[in-house]
Amino acid sequence: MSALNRQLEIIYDQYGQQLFTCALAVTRNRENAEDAVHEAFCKCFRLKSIPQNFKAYLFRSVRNAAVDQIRKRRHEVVVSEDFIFESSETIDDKDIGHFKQKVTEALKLLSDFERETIVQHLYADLTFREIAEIMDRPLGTVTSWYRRGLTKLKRHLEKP
Amino acid sequence: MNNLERQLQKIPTAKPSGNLKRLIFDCVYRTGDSQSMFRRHIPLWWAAALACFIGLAGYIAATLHRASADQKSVPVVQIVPEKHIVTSDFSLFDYSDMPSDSLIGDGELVAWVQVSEPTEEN
Repeated sequence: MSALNRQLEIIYDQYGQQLFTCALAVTRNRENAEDAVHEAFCKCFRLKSIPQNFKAYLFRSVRNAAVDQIRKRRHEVVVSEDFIFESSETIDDKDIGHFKQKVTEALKLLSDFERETIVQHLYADLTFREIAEIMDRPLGTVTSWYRRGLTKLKRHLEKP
Repeated sequence: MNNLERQLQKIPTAKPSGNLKRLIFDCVYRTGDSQSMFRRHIPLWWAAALACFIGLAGYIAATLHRASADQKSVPVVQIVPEKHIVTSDFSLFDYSDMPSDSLIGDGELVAWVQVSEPTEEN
């Protein structure tokens, strides 16, 4: 295995989970999200060298692959009820399980950009600057999506 | 980070299946490595291609040269009364008394030369 491939394996170990979560936020389907991550990595294997800011490059590749997945399989996708989260049966803590359900419902009310920004920032540990680079949008736009999305979430979660 | 953000982060996210990593890195062996192997040996591929090109060019040049040499070796016989034969020992003799058939294909013929009539200047 070449040095690049070894490096990619290290990167997968480091960011694999976060990449999958981000892909899941777009596709809302496990299989498609896995396919998107797979596709993005296969694309990386064809690179001659690691590009600058590889983390942003990889997340953007996964996002693009995920968007392609939903375009290709628009009519055949079964949307996961658990969204980006672990299924309720595997969560031991009952409070977290209940909270998860409410959050999942609330996330459905957000726009695609708001939802994606929240997932990328909170669950993939990406900074707003990185998200702006990945989504190819100004930093101010990304932060306002995030704030707006979070406010909507809060409002929904405060409802009895 | 506010309280809501911290609470949201407590919810565990779904994990990719264990197979995903294996599938991705299997893809390396199927496509990635073969391609990078090609890339890694690009100078070698170029050298091999150049060697093939030189070999082919040499072969074509040799064939053309041989063909033109064969063409040259065929004597063009133009029998005109003023001509003489140059034989392999470079002697000249007048063929005017000989029948034209006997002059061709005996292995001794090197070239036909035209011997000019001696002029007053010569």
